Amino acid sequence: MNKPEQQAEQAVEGGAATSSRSRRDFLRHSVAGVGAAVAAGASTRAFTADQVNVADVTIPSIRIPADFTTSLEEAPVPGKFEGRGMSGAEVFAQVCVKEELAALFCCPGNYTVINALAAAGIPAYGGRMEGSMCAMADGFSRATGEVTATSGTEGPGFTNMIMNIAAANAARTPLLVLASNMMLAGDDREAFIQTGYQQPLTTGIKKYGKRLIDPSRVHEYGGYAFRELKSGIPGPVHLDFPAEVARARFKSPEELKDYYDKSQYRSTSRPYPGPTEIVQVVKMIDKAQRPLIVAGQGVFQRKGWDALVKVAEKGDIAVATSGPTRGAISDDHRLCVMAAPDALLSADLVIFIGQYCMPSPGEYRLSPDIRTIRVHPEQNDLGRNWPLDLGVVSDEALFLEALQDAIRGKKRPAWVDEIAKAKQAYQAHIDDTYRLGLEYSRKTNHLHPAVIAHETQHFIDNGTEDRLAVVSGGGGWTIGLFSGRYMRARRPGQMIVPAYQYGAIGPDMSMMMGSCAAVQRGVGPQKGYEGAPTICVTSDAGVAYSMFELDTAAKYGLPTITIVYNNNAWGVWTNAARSARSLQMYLFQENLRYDQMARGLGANGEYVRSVEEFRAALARAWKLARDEKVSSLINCQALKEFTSPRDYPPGVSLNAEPGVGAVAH
Amino acid sequence: MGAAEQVGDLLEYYAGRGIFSGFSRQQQGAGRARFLLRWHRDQLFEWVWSEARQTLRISCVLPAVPADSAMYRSLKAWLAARQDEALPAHRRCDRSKVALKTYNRGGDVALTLHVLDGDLDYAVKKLVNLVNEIYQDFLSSGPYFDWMVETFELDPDNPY
Repeated sequence: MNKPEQQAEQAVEGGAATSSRSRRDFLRHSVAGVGAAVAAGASTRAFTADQVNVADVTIPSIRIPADFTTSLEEAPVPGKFEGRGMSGAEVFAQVCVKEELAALFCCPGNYTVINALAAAGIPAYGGRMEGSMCAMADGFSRATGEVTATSGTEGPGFTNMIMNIAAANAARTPLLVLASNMMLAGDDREAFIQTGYQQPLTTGIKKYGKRLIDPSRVHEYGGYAFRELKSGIPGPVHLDFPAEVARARFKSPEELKDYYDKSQYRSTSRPYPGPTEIVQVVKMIDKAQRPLIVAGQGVFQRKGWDALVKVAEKGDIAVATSGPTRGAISDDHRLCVMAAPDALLSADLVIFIGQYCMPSPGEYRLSPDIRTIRVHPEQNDLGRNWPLDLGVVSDEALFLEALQDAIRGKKRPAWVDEIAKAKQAYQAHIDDTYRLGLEYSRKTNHLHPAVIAHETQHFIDNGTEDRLAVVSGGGGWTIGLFSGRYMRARRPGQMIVPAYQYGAIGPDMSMMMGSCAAVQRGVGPQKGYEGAPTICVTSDAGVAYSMFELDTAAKYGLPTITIVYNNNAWGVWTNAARSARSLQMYLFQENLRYDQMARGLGANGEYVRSVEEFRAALARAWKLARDEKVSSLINCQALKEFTSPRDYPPGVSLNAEPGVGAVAH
Repeated sequence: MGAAEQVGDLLEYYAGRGIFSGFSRQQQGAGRARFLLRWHRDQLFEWVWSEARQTLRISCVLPAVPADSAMYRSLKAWLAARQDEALPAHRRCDRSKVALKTYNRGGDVALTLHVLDGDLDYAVKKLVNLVNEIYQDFLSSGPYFDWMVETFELDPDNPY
């Protein structure tokens, strides 16, 4: 037995809240409560266990239907011109296959299109709510940098996706939003149900959008979509397919406009930095005593992480990352200042590379005296929000490769020493908060957010076989701010920031399930980590938006561990603390059992109130996820008062930007 | 160039770099100049240069901090730490060049920097950085989030 397994076993033997069970066992247990009530007539009274003799009732187990498994194993059957011909949806699916669309996450609806994509061989996932499935697609993309697609029904499903399309837009995710638009013939007639005109609804939250009208242009607009998704700054592309387009039939290529290869409808050419600009950059770096690179999403998207580390090491340049995905440089690297906020204020030169969402001065923790270089693939964004000393139009990876060759090796021992001291100071600060949280937890028998966050990272580091394999992420207000401080990224794509830039409460859990799908498939930077479980730390407010996707995770064998900080309230309740009549709007029922709901959905549910119970639950959840691909939800009972600095100082505070726990820019 | 004009030019340099979102020179003369800066949390900061006293004074660097509060004590301790010899020179307010004092009038904290050696470049630069660090570091290092939301009437979902 290896070390983690021993730990898991010991945790179980150590008197944890519930004993370790096999998948079959816990599914049987989880079903009993709900199923018994249903069998007894589903009366309100029947939902109390003491009124039903569970042993007398035969309850079918939660199970994955055989049809699901069979369907998943079917070989792709792409459309062809011969015979009945190709439908418009099949022509579009062919474009998606050739463009290597990484995955589709959807709910049924827009049937012709999603069926064609699945049939063509695109990895396809069907779930319970369009909004959550959209977040899953976003999460898959955040973990890989790849284009993913999402789809919903014509009207209601599509509008359910809006929040998460907006989140993807804020994060510059290359997300292909697909929706049908009933029939052109039904426009303005309110024919039956679900009609709506979609494109105006995504105004301001997409990079490009089009309602397809002419069936013969379906291939052409497929090209439009991928040109936008794979060129310049990424962002959502929204195509809606009226039935006349999706169902049109084509028996020959000449019936389609612009029916040619991707090499002809889009270019892979990238802007390269000018030689004089590189000379200027090198001079400014040479002159700086404490240079800093802020590596934005563009560095991840363009897979520039190796060159980033080489440039940093050659010049002893500090590095912070920003964006929806963390880990382009390891938080442990001697030059990484993600967990060294005090060092940021000492930097005298900042080089923003691929920072798609620019802060304004004052939003980043930098000195007013700092000199600024910004490297961006599009000229028209240089100078926006943040005045520049030098702007360089370049692809991020090409810039870093050019700089790697041009920069002179230079040691900056004083700067490196200052970074090390700042890291030590920050670690001491969060260690103090953890100890205080432990004290609060023991006194109240409720889990403090600092304890949950610290213990989760400690488990990843010490309780798993390979800490690099575990992709983590999360959100929520109180727990999001705390977990950001303790959770670490040590390789590209290892940490997802669901709340990045849009601050949506809710998509965390489903976004991490999407990331989990990417890990299971070993896509992009997740290659080599196939099979590893993912961990999401989120709030009770947030989990309510995504919980039903535990059903989706179970069906597709996505081993996710979701840690829920259950503080009985919206984390922002302190804003009503001085308004007695308002407070009620911020509160939930207390002690809700998200763990029991998880069991009802075929996942493992754990309920914990102490650090010892939490450690044991994590060990059990990990074992189930790793060995049986079973997801877990750990309900950590907390108190809303932990948010308040008046009740339990320090309460919440914002994290430094950029840095660990940053959610903006 | 007079000292008042020099202070104004130095501040205008920061405004030109986008550090302040607004800047204006107010009345000037007789060795005294007043400047208004719109800066952190959209606050309007009044800076006054006194030639006779060789001081730069910000009349309210933080509002709503009672003189007998723990927050005020923490702020004074934090400011004292900014002059600590252990800090690297680029982060330290050199005691041989400037002296810092706070005053509390009804909760408004005034911050005065006394220029000891006539080096106005240094003084202005240090005071600009010091105020920046009060907002970037001091206010995030303690239990002040709710205080910020209430005092600056911020949206807690967008507290900048």
